Amino acid sequence: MSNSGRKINYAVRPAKNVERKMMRDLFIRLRSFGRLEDYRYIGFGSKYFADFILFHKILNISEMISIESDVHNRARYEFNKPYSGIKMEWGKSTEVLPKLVTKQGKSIFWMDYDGAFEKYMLEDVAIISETIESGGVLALSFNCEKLKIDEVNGANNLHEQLVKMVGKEYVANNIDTRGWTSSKKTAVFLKNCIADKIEHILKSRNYSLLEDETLEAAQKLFFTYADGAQMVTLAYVFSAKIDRSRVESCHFSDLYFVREGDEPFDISTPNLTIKEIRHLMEIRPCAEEVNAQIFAQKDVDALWENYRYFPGFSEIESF
Amino acid sequence: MTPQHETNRVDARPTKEFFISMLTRDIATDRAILDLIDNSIDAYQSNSKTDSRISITINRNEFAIRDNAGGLDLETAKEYAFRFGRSASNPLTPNSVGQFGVGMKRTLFKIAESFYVESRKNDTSYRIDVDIQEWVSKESWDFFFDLLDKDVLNEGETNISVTKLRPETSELFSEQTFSIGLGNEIAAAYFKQLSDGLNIELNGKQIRSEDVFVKVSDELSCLKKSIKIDDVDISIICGVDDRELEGGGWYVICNGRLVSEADQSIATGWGCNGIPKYHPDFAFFRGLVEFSCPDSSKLPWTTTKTGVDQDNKIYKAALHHMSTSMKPVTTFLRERAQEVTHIKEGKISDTPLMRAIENAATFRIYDAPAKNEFIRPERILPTSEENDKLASVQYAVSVEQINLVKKSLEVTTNREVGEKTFQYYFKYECGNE
Repeated sequence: MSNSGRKINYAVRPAKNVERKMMRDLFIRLRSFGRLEDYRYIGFGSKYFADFILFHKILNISEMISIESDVHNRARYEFNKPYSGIKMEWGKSTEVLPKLVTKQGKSIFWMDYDGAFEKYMLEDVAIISETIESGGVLALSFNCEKLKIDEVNGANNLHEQLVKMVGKEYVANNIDTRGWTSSKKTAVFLKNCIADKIEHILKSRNYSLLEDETLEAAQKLFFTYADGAQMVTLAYVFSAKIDRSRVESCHFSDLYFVREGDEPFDISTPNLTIKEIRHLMEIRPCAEEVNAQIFAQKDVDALWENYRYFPGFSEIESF
Repeated sequence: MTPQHETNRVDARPTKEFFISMLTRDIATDRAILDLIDNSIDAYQSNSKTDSRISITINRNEFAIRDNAGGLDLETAKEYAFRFGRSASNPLTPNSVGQFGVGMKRTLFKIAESFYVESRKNDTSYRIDVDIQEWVSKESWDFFFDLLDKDVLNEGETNISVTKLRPETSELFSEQTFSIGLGNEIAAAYFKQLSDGLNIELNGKQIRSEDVFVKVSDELSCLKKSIKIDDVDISIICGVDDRELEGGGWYVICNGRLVSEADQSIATGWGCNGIPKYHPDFAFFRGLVEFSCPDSSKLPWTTTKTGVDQDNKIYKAALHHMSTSMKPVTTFLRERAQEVTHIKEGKISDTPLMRAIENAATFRIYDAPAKNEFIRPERILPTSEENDKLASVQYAVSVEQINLVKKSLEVTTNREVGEKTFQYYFKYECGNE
């Protein structure tokens, strides 16, 4: 959301590219709730708008809003918009979202933060969960490096770091200090904080709704990947009780990368040449034909697991 | 189970001293007095009286509250009104503000050593005289009434009078700030009823409603939402008024009675779920949430009526709607504050948000034309060129020195001093570059 577009072109981050297409395939299934073209997409398009382009082309969503806090370079973002229909909203997400969520209709939110987890992200989760409609999706991505814990004063140090990230209401004073050197532990902890926030908001919201209208949120995605920084992506599908049969007919669980629990789906990308990829695709799925002198098993697994989503990059002459 | 022999009896009866000390502990004297006014207001409502008038006398030597609300009939007095706590058989007063059956006793025990209550209804006048010390010393919990000559009171009148104040109360009542404070509390707590024509006098002077206002125009709206949960009607109104640090916040009303005035705490949503903590930038915010229900026990108020029960399910439901209703308004106010910064820095040349507030007309919050969304003008953001071209400088100097420079430059504002001295330096030292 900040000026991270300067750091990296999102289009050439392979795991991000895979993730984006997996999300597209998840969103396609929302059509049990209604026409996808009637959905609204709210994201952080940066200067590349890679998600906007994909979701417009494949899902045919035309009402799209990009939140951008780099207010001083507005002209450049406007210039880079791939479609004139994309509306830019200027400011920090927590300041802008309250203006966007009042509008009725089904929405897909992808808060693709480019930094480490911070408290304001839970505020964003609250703002969105207060009004998102049945059939809506809230996805979040954030950096999730393993915590660095001071060995001398581990408990205090850990407590302090976690409180700084999520606020003291989510951190028990006698928190178990073991296992935090794995980024997965932090990821699961943050995921639980987000789920708690959503649940808390929905509980208050449901008090004034009729039984059939009461909402619940179900986790569908829990990705981890590293295109450099260690990242986490979560996605929740919101549905009213009356729409439960629609959720079922989405058959989200048919997607092999859907994760509803604490075990993430790790998007690993192979380190292979174009020629190697072609060869491996020709022999797939015959594992016994793989030449172990040429290929590392983990690269083969990574390619074969996600080959449908793996990007076919090649250099282009841009000038 | 062992048979319940009299010899096995363990005495678990409450003592009167305990009752008095527990009842009176958690309520301030001024708020306790409001409980007596609540009773009068309920009487007006149940007797459908319109020419309502409550008169309170308070000074070092006396306390009295008199109303013409229709009176308390002797049967009700005998069966219910003096019981400690509302009994299940007590018929409900629909939409009442008195609810817990402790108000009158708590107040009188808090301030009095002796008091009487007299009333006339259906041509029967009676008086109940209580000497608290004497009552405490007796085993019985009963009070006793005397029938009066009916013309001692006008039909429908009730008069509660303290014949002897407790020494600390007498002390308190002698302070001028106490009666001023009480007047302000009454003006706020009953602002709705006072605006609707209820007449309350304190020491002979009529109290004016401490009303809540919002500013509304074609380009600036006030948002209204109504919901109903479990027979409780909840109405939420949000908007902006002129800046007033103390007056900004939420006003919470239960059956017409204000229980929380200009609340700026987490209890009304400030500082959680995406709403910033209350801050001077939000001193324009006015929110009103009103709970109404024929059965007042369903309302989310505390027994002292000085706040809300935040764990109450109905309040939680309302808080969700308060949160979503106030967000567009706080966002607008945050942008207004940014607009002020931008105009000061010369980065924008117009202030549509400030103008919208200035130009809007003021309405009582209840009378304001409301919409189901918050309408507001679009803000103006600084253009990149203006941003890139301009920089602001800020520094502090001594007042004495700046006044000398002002005189020398023949200007009146600090800003002009900054600009002129900068231009002077630039002209002579950088002008040729």
